[in-house]
Amino acid sequence: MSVLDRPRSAPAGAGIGVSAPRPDGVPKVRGQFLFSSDLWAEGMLWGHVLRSPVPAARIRRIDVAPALCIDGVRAVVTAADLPGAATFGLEVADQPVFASDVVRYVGEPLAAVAADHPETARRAAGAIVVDYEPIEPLCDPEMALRAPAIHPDGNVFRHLRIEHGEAFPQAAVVVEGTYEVGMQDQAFLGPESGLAVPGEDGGVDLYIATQWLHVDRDQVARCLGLPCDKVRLHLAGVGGAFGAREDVSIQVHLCLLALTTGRPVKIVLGREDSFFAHVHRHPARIWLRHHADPEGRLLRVEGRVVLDGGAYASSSNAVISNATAFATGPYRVPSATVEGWVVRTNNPPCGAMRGFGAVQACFAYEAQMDRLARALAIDPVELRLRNVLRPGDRLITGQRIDGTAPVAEVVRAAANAPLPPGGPADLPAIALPGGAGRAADVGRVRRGVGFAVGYKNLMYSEGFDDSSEARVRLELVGTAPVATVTCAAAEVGQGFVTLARQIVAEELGVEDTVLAPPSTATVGSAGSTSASRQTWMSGGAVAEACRAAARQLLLRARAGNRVAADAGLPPDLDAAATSGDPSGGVSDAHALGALGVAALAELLGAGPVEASATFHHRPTQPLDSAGQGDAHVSFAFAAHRAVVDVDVDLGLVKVVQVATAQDVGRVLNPLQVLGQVEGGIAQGVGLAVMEEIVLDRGLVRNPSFTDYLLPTALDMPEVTVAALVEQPEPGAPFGAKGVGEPPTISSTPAVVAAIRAATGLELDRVPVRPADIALAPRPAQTSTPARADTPARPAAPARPSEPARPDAGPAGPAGRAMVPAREDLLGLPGIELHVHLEGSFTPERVAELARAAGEPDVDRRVRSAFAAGDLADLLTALDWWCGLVRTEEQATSQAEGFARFLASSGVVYAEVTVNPTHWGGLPRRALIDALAAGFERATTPGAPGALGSASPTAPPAEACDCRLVVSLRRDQDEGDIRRVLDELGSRRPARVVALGVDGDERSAAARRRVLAEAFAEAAHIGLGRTAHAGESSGPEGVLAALDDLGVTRIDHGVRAVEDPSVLSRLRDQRVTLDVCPTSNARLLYGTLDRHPLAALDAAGLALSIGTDDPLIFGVDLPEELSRAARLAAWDLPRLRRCQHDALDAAFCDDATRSSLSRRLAPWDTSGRKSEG
Amino acid sequence: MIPAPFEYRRAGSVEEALGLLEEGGEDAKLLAGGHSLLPLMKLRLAAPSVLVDIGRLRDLSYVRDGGEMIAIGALTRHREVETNPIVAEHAPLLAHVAGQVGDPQVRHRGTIGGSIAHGDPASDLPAAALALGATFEVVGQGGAARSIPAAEFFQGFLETSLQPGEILTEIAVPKTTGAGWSFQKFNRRAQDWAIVGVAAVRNGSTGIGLVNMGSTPLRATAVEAALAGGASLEEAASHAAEGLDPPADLNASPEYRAHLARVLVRRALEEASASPR
Ligand SMILES: Cc1cc2nc3c(=O)[nH]c(=O)nc-3n(C[C@H](O)[C@H](O)[C@H](O)COP(=O)(O)OP(=O)(O)OC[C@H]3O[C@@H](n4cnc5c(N)ncnc54)[C@H](O)[C@@H]3O)c2cc1C
Repeated sequence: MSVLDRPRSAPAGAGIGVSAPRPDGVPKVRGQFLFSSDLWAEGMLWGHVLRSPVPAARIRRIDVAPALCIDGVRAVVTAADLPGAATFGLEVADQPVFASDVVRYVGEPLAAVAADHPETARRAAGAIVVDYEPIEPLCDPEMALRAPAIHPDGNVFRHLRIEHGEAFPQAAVVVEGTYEVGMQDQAFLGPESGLAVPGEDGGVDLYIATQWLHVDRDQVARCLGLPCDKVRLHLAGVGGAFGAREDVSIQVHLCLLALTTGRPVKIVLGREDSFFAHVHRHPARIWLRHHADPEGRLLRVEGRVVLDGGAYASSSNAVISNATAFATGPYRVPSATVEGWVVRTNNPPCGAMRGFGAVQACFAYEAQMDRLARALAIDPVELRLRNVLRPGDRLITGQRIDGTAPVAEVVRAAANAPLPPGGPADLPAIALPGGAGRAADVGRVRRGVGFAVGYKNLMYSEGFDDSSEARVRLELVGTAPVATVTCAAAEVGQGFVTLARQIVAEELGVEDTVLAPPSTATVGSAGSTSASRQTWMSGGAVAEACRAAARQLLLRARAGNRVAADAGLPPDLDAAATSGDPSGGVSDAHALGALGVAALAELLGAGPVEASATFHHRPTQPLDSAGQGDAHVSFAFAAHRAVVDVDVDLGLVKVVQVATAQDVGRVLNPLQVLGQVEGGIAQGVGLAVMEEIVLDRGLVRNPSFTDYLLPTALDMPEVTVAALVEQPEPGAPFGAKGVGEPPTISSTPAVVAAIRAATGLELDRVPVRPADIALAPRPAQTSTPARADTPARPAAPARPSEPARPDAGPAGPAGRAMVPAREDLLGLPGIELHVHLEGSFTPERVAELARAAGEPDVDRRVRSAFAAGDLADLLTALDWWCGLVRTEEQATSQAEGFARFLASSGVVYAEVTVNPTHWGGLPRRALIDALAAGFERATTPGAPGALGSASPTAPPAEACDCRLVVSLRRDQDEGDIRRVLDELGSRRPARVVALGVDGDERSAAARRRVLAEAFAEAAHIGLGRTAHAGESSGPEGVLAALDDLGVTRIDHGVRAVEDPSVLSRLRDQRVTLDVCPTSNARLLYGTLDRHPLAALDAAGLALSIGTDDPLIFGVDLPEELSRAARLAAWDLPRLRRCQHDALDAAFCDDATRSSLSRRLAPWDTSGRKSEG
Repeated sequence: MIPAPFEYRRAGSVEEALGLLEEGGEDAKLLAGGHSLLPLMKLRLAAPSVLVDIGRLRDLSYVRDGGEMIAIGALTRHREVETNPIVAEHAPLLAHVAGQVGDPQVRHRGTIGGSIAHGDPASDLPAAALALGATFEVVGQGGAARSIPAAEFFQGFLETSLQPGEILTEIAVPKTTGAGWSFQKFNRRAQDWAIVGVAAVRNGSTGIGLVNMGSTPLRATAVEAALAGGASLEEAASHAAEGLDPPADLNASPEYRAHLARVLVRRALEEASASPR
């Protein structure tokens, strides 16, 4: 159902609630509307602005003489010619009108020329000689935080830190990610243009397309050194804005040229110059970490937001405030720490764009919510519903939501909208990704559905009083009453011109309304057409002015020569008029409206009435040093559900449908709301899949609509408006919230979530480019034909007891996800948490060490050691061969070889357990240091070590980052255990991340106290904690590890399956079991079939898969994973979750975790395997 | 976005055009639909001193059935190539490709001769002409005529074997009536230029033309050779980027282009090998 055919509660006439047509609609379609580029004045000159081609330089000299020599040139102006302030800016006047000593971005103005002809002006500007001394540009926002200042005001425009709530209880699940948003352009169609006309009073009139006349006026006057009343700005036809016209661009240049030449001067920028002349959306890098309880309720969010502000401040300070304050989304978050920075670089300045900081934040927090949903296996919509804000809740800025907040309503409505019928196979070729180019192969097209919800503040925030003034004059023209509305609100396409008329009709019953041209000369400021605020603010001002005019008329009726009855006034109206009660304004106006036009005309017969009103929103406060404060007036919410088709081989995305529901307060004009919804979604889709300003050392590489890709009508999805939720907002005129920005906010994350669902890729950056999908590492594709470019990986290491290959043969029933085989998993960035260095010995290596140590009877002892039948036997064997390592170099090369072996099987991160008690041949500290040195050595390129299983044709494996878990032996001497902890506490050896315990678990009971103390100490000195349990011990061993040792993971733990209560403990505490199926099959269950992996999975546990002693059991991680998959009937996405579980449970720092997470990201195939 | 000054002459006949070209000398340029030349001039990448407008030479706008082949006049608009029944029957690939050029506005202005003569590796029609083994008829000063096979025509980036003073008059396309064909045009945004395109026709032998895979419109010779040597379609397609040096631009890296070429050639071959349409 579209908003247009929604039954409405009978709106009458031309008032509020009807789809009144835009007065400028037909002229725009017919090409009759006059845009600012159509301005013309007798005898006018043409201006051209010279812009810097370099991002950073000192200016040695600017020589304008060659330009002045050109015939037809009337003036050349530079910074030296400015009579007033040299700089301007919306919040901070830090931006030079013309650069004079330093340039800080490509496109920065240096001079302006006026000439008889635009081509002459262009040529003259090109003739100006600028001598630059280049400076290395600062283009990386992270670097800007540390680099020397590139502006006297420094490199940090604003830093805020939000600290909210108390410390939080232990979270069951933690997810984190780093997300990036590229630089989007507002991409309005009407380039910057204007006409300045010098006035006889020494002032100037500027006709200009802008979003805020008065604030432009103030900045222009300051730079011209003129009083404000000598600079008069008049709104010229605006061809789109979206934030890009909030800053001064060519305004000062135009006026200065007009005043210098004494002639009207016009400038129209070409498209390329336009890209360099206005601000863009801030590129963002956002890190978030979400902590939640097992039901998915958010406990805490940590975040860090870095925005690239470019060379000058523009509105960066307000954008970062939004991006930081809204970084946790429209959810209840009891505890949060979020830091935000917006920094100066030599990139183009960034400022306002539709969504204003909320867009960047939403992309990040909605990706996190999906990650959380996945980690907990909760439906993403359900997860959101469990967390949504409700009226009365507090934001992380401490502000209580006093108004309406129908978040659950918009989520439900968007989620329940009908899906498009059928699937890609039901579509004509032209509707598939790539459209008419017919490049898509429907067999390779995957459909995905994604969901997102977002929110944003309305109006200006943090203490700013962005009031609006309006004047309404009522008079008779002929016999008909006509209203004239004077208001400086800039019509930039949002439809104020329509709404102003509807409001007059609603308030006064007058349908003939003229809008006076917006100008600073006739009325006070209306504030900016931004922040979704004009309907509320200027609409409010018009409504109040109408009411004041109505009051005047009623007083006239009372005081006039006619009694109420004669005028046809109802008695109660007469009473209202008589009372003169100002609060009766609303009913006055309504009563007057009800009167009908005839009575109104009668009253106006005595002459026109005119009334003004200034509308203020309720006051707000700046955020304090902890980021707390009632900073915002009101909030609006919207949800989007996107359906996409993706050709996974080409990487092409077709957005099939976007369903949305929006919190609007009240619908004032359904058609215009729909226009905002569709336009906002177009920009959201654009950011999701194509729109990005590509920068190369500060230079915009694609300053044209050929290269800056904007979605066309054909690229737009079907838009389904599931609901416009009408809950009138207290304090808002007519209860209406702004509707302009919310459609842009969550449409982008919804589309990307849908692409993730279709491809299984993580995709943590927008826009998503086709190559991000098509070239993402996709190990499962090795089994699809025609991929001769993928080198084959070596076969599994052939070790003593090569087990029978699981018969994971090609395909199950068509369409069913297939169990991945080892080959399908090669190339997977492996993460392994349960592997012992003691199990890194091959028979050959043991024999070599034994001979070096002069041991007798080597061959027989090696054979029997490797035939160990149960755990106890194995532990004895380990003692023997580890004890053969007698020199540090032997230990180092053992570790190095093992790390290279792991790397050759695709493992990129491993936590390797070493139990020094087995290694009798070396002192403990020397051993640990030597092993760490070996791991270090393995990170440098080199031949595979002694253990290398890689065949000579193997591609060079990526290094494996190995960390050490120092493990105690369960029956180790108490004093010795203390010494281990002392040693680890006094000097943490390199690469040691955790304390573990292993050995025969049957001796566990006697060791409880000693081990508990050791593990408490480990926590105290910042080590991770893990323990072997539930292998040779039963569920009670697992319980003891949890209760006594406080571990966050358990090695093996498989026998927990014997006690459901232990399983629930593990699940609820989100303790990860590091399971090694082959080892368990060998040492515990006898065969793989009896392994309880499926049951552990069904119990909802976090599971990571490890190899335990790979060289002994003849497995590597891909093999072990494929066996796990066969055991538990897992498909690739499920296996991928094991890797994520492993990563979540790893004892590494955040940087490592997030970089690993990024590497894991591309590894998914979501059922692609069935294609074979 | 304003071109450099130039002189404009309109020709009423091929002879007159040849004369004007000779008169204009080195810097004279033919103007057909203007949809490649004018953008270049606006960007000041081209600045001819004289434009000889042949856009109204009606007698160079035709499609004729020439027995073994069909003959298409150089001034025939894309829209006419797209909809002409003779082309549809005997060179359906060409009709389809013409319908994929830009948007309706472009197709009503641009000409097949202009598209071929421009020699842009990103253009669609040259790749189709290569796949079809077309021949280009050219007249030069004094009315000297010569035929140039498509495979020998494209010399370098926007460079063809046309000599100054020569006019392309006709495109002769061998009939592929009933043959299997496919055109795969990959773009990110609707109605855009191809990032990579593949035109294929299977008519006993196989012809494959590549869009935007090098500095000129190209034939996928390695694929054609592999097929001729009995390779399977998949195997042959894996050679799609062999020996090529695809361009790097904002839309695609060379690696991605190579990947796209392999995928699209496979799909094109599969489609062209399915029962003829
Ligand atoms: C917005 C837009 C989108 C486009 N999209 C596509 C697309 O998707 N795919 C595509 O293939 N093309 C596309 N084009 C290009 C279009 O197809 C051009 O029309 C065509 O490439 C050139 O034909 P023309 O008749 O306009 O030639 P012109 O621009 O007039 O001439 C091009 C060149 O050929 C020369 N020339 C022209 N005619 C002759 C002749 N008879 N003999 C000798 N030399 C001659 C000219 O001197 C000039 O150097 C697009 C163009 C535009 C403007």
